[in-house]
Amino acid sequence: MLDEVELMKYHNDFVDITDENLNLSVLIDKVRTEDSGAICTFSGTTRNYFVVDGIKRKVVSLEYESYTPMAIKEMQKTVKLARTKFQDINKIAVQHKIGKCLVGEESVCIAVSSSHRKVSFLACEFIIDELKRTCPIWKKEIYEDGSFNWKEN
Amino acid sequence: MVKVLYWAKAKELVGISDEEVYIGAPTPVSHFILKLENLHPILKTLNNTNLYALNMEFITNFNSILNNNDEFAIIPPVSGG
Repeated sequence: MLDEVELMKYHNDFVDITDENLNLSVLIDKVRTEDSGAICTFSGTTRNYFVVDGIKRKVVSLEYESYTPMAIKEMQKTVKLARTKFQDINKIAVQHKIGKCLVGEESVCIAVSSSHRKVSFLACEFIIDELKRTCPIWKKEIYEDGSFNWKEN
Repeated sequence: MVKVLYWAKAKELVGISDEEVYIGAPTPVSHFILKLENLHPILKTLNNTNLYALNMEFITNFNSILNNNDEFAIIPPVSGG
């Protein structure tokens, strides 16, 4: 069995952490293949409110911090696990933004291509769930009054 | 020396992002954590919700041995995505 880095190279999968704004169409192009009948995507966007201790608080922005080399490793492991769980995936691309994310902006984007659509839908969902569970990235919510809170998934 | 990285809330509480910590001999992870808590008592307030990483792998066995030049990280509950 190939390790996760070899597997990614073999399939031309893409995982990345960036401080630039995300562009989903770039990720879609990375997974587009002539033998794919479907590309499914997920974008995680910054919501303008979070519930803290039962109270709805208005969020002005989020800041993301990452233990980047380990986060990349965990993203690679997640991609490998998705390929183990779901057969006939063509390509996978995952990109996470770090630094400041304003309300409405994408903080994470995922694109998956496959011959038939079912596997792409399932893999997309699996990858975001797994990323939220294992990836060493942290989100700080900054509220209207200037206070902030480190979130926990 | 072991390189210790503090992330997110742990970094805020301790006040530094990283430091080198001396170990006299290869040290079990469990002992090393106690050493860090003695150096920075405020870490105890994190209520055992942290995970830890050794050379960028999550630690599951707290008897694992830390050696010189290892990288140890305190991983507060994650919130990516």
